[in-house]
Order: sequence, then structure tokens, then C-alpha cells
Amino acid sequence: MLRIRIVTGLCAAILVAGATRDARAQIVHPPTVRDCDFQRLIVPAKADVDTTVWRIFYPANQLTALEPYLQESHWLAALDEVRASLERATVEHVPSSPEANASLARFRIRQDSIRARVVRLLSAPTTTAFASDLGGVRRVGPSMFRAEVRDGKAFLFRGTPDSLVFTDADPQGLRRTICYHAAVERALLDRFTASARTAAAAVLTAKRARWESYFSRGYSQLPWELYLNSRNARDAAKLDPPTTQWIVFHPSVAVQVSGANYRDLARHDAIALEPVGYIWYRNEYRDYFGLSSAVVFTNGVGTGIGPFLHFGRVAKVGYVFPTRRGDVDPARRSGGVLLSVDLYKYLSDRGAQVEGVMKSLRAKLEKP
Amino acid sequence: MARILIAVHGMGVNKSDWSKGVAMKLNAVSRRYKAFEKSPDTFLLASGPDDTSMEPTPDQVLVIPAGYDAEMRARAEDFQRDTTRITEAAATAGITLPSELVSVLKWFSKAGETEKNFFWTHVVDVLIYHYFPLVTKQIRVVVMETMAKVLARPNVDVSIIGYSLGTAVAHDVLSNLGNGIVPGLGSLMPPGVRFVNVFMVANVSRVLEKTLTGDMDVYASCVCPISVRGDDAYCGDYYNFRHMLDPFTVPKRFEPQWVGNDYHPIDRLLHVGNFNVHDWDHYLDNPEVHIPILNSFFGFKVIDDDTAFAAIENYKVSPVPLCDKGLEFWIKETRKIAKKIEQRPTVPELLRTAAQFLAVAEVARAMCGAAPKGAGPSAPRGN
Repeated sequence: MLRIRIVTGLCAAILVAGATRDARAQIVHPPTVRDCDFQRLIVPAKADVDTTVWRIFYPANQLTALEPYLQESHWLAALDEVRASLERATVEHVPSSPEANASLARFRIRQDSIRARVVRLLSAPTTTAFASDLGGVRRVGPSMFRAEVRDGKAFLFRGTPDSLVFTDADPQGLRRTICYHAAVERALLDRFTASARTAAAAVLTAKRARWESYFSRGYSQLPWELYLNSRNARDAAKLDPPTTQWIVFHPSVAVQVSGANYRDLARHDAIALEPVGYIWYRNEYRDYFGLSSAVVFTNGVGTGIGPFLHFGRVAKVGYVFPTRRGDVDPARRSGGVLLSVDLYKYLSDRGAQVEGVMKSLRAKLEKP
Repeated sequence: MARILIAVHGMGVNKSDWSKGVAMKLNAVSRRYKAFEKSPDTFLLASGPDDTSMEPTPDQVLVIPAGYDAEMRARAEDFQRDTTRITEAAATAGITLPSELVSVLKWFSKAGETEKNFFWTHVVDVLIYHYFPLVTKQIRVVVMETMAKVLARPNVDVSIIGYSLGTAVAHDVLSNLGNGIVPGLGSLMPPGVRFVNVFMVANVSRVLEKTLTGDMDVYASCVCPISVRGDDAYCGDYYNFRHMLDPFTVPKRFEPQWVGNDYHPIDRLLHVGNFNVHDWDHYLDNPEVHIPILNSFFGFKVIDDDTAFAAIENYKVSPVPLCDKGLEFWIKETRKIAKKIEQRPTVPELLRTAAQFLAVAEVARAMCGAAPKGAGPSAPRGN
């Protein structure tokens, strides 16, 4: 019998200990956090809300009731409904006291101020005008009514003369009345300014796409060129890529097509070094045109210099005049057409066609 | 609707799953406390700002990465590809190039290697960000776009955690979003839009400040708590975490004269659990760092003062897998590095000493039995 009691007692102790651990494992939110943390208040099903007395004032429920106004963009009517709800909650749940009256007065001042700004913004003739009204848009964003919850306290309008602070020691009626309606105002303002924020994101998406094009479709830049071109792009406010670009000592792989006469035209692998040049971008950085000088190094036909034209990343064409530099037999030195490898490949793929054109050219030129 | 933490990574090759490591680390450290023992993961991870598949509860935080590593790597790889192609083509075709050009090209052709030296894998990011405004702007636009997309979501409470170079990137991006200098972004300005918390881990924003014309001084910008600049402040609370032996944070330390209780300087960290004290995981592993972060998301001390005190004290005396020989070498060398950078608190000196410090940490780690990189109490990863 004793053994049974001991076992039963142990089991009970284990169960109690388990229950205690379980209880500790739960995150228990203080009243102020439950009443003022916006992320909790807009979740529709919330067990710790008094669903009988506070149900109609609970932010998720208020927002549901306001949905018809929001769908029709009747912002002022929605704001007025929130104000009316605040007054109802005040009458029903906030016992009159100097402190409570002062807090409510500050809250009303902020509501009036926001309403006036919304009126001003709604009078903007276009969406662009709305978004560009900095003084208006930036002061009707959702953070204007965000209750900051920190260390178990809730702060509203911090840093302004209307600052409010709530703790667990404050009357629940006042705390809930103000925090609940702040949450609803915040959600309304969030929706009111959503299109302007989305437009701002779209502006940046477009800029990112331009940068991607600039680096992936633009003329490649070696570190010293990137450094030099960066010198002209230091303005933090201008976030688009530059529309022009310097080319400085830029080496690239190329093909020189040359020969003593047309019959002897032959391909020679080459390295083209462009001492200086300039690029102009167009079509949202998908394309460019440029002009540069080029020094061309080859194996067999010596070194040459000449102009080099850029038509986007693939097509580059120029003409090379032979120089006396190098140890190449003077008899073999020759000028010729300089092509980018990609362009040469493009032409080579149509080798037969090119060959045909060359033959007919030769034939025409050799006629007396 | 959600609590969101935008994570901005630091220098180094940050593989695509870097943000997974951050979320996992934060979940792992939260599990040390009873309040979180039986809860589901507190930190969920989204793949990017467009990923809306996650639905966090009010007790969860959605981590959204704001990475710029792809852009950094692309530039380094461009350098490598272009220069390698030219040197190889010249060699294949037997073309003789001027020797100066060849040596420059060969130097840059190392740019894509990721394992061999810390300059190319880590420090080059700082160099590119600070000295190449064309890349700086692209990186800023990429991070700004992430932030703007997150802010465009309905009913979000957004915080930011920046680490190392990410602190400078985060500061510059927030500063330019918040001060209205970029046309078309006025709807993202304070006080209508404001970040709940800004967490700066190993803050180097001051040494890298004013990279572009028009950038604000970090002490004068809108990236400050409300007590500093009222309506123009872009964040509610500002947390600054600094390890005292982390040389990266030595030049131009972030020490503003902000006295409000919404500025939280946690800058006396001393625990050494890994020779690379600059490591992100090493910071997050420390209770002095992760407890304020966790508490801030819940709005109250979910880890109470007594628990926090005990965790911090226990952590200070917890055994670490660092051998005496390695530790002695590391302390000696780190002091030298810190002294050097204190004497010349400039960006070029930071670049030099940063590479040295990472190399010293690697040598010390090898001296302690060549433990795999990142071994330690917190299993830290890269930077």
C-alpha cells in the first residue's frame, strides 16, 4: 500500500513538474503587450480578447466592418467611423479622469491631424501627384499610429508633443480604447499608402533591371575603367547607371582579317588594346554605340593601329593600319579589317556565303 | 502581416544559403531558454522579398535576406574572365603583349578564386564597395529594392540586422531611403514609415561612411533612434554590438553621443569562443547579443533579467576549444593588428589588417589541432 502511495506520489510529482515546465514553456504576454501589440491585434482569432465586451472594438473586427468603405476607397468615411468607435469605447469603458481625458485628447489631435492630411492628399489630381507630395505622404504612413511595445510598455507618438505611454498599471479600459483604435488607424493608413509604397518599390525594380543590363549587356569594364567611370558617378541621389562610359587601356580578343591583296585575305588572331574610347548607352542600357582607338597585336602580321567602332557587345569593327613596331618581316606587315570575335564567329557561321561574296568581290576587282 | 527581420550580410563569399544559417542560429540560441523550449521555430526564412509563402504567427519572425553577394561576385568574376581570356588568347596565338599589361592582367585573373586568400574572398568586397561607386550604387539599389518590397507588404513591422560590411550597406541604404534624396521614394520616408529595430553587428558604417557625394555622416543621418532625431528618425530602437577584440570595428568606432534609452550600445563583448571573433555566428552565439534581439521582437522581457544574467555569466565561464598555444599567438598578433589600425584608422589600412586578422585566426586555429574552419562552441561558419 505504501509502495502504491509512493509510486502515485512520484507520478503526481512528475506530472506537476511536467505541467510546471509546460507552463514555463509557454510565452505569457503581459497585458500591455496583448492590448497594444499591433501584430496580435489584427489576427482575427485571438483567445485572450474579451469577445463579449470588447468584441466590436477589437481591431480585426473593426477592420472587417470597415471593409466596404475600404473597397470603395472611402477613406474619410472610414476614418470617421474609427473616430465614432473611439468615442463609443470611451463612453463605455473609460472612466473619466484628468489623465484619461488628457490621453484621449492627444489621441484625437493626432486623428484630426491625419484626417486633414488625408483630405489634402485625396485632392491630388493624379496618382503621381499623390506619390510626389512628400510632406503629405510621408506623414500619413502606417508608422504614424504604430504603438511601439518595448519592455512591457507601449509608446504612441514617441518623439512628439502628443507622446503617450501605457503600462500594465494603467486602466485596461483606457489602454485598450487607445491601442485598439491606434491599430485600426494604422491598418487604414497602411492600406491608404500601399499604392505609393508599391510604386516606390517599382521604381527600384526598374533601376535594378537597368544595372543588370548595364553590367551584363554593356561594354565590359576592367578594374581601372570601373574606377575611372566611377569617378563620374558619385552622386548618391542618382541611382541609375551612367549613360556614357570611357574606355581606357581596354584589351580584348579580336580577329584581324588582312592580306597583301584580296586574294590573300586571311584570319589572324589578335589582341586589341584600346587606349581610349567612349561609349553611349541607349534603349534602357540594352544597347550601345561607341568609338575608340585600337592598337592591335598579332602573331604574323605585326602590330597596327586604327579606329574601332562598337555596336553593342557582339559587333565591333575597325580598320588597322600597320606600324613598324615589332620584329615581323616588313614584307608580311599589313593592315586589315578588325573584327570582334563574336562578329567574326557570326560571319564564319555563314562561311559559304561569305566565301561566295569574297569570290565575287575578287572577280569584280580583278576585271580590267 | 508579419514581423520581419531583413538580414544584410557582410563581406566574403556568402553562398546562397547564408540567410538560412542566420535563421538557424537564431532558432538554436532561442532554444537555450525555457520560454522557447517547446515553441515552434521563432525565426522562419523566406527566400527573398517576393516569397510570400510563409505565414508567421505573432510570436514568429520572418527573416528575409537582402543579399548583394551575386553582384559582388559578378564583378570579381568579370575581372577574372576578361583578363584570363586575354592572357590565354595571347599565349595560344603566340602574341607578345607589353610586360606591364601582362603582369596587371595576371594579378587580376586571380579575382575569382574563393578559397586561397582572404583578400580576394573577403576584403575585396570592402574595396569594391568603397572605391567603385558604380558597384556601390548597384548594391544599394539591390538592397533598397528588397527593403522597399518588404515595406510595400501590408501591415508589417520591419527590423533590420546588418553585419560587418552589411552595417555600412544597411546604413547607406536606409539613410538614402529615409532622407528623400532619391526621387520617387518619398512614400518610404519617416515618420510615416519607420523600422522597428536596427541591429548593427560589428558596425563598420563609420569607417566606410560618405562613399558617395550626398551620403550622410553616420551620426547625422536619419538612421538613428527616435530620441535622437524625432520625426526624422528612421528606426525606433538602435542596437550596436561590438566585440572589443574585433579589429574590424576599431577604426572610427561607432560611439555616438546618443543618450536616449532607445539606443542600446552593447560594445563591451569580450568572450572569445572562436579565433575569428568577427564571425557573425560568434556574435549571435553570445547571450549579450541574442537576448536583446529576442526580447525586442516580443515587446517585453521574454527572457527575464535573472535568466539573462545567469546566461551571460555561464557563457563567460563556458569552456572553449581554443588551445593555449594558439590563444597566446592569436592574442599577440591581434594586439599588433589592433595597434596598427588604431594608429592609421583608414580604409586602406582596414583592408590590409582585415586580411591579416583573418589569416592570423586561421593560423591559430591550425595551431590548435587544425580543427575545421568554424569549429567552436557555436559551430560558426564564414564571415
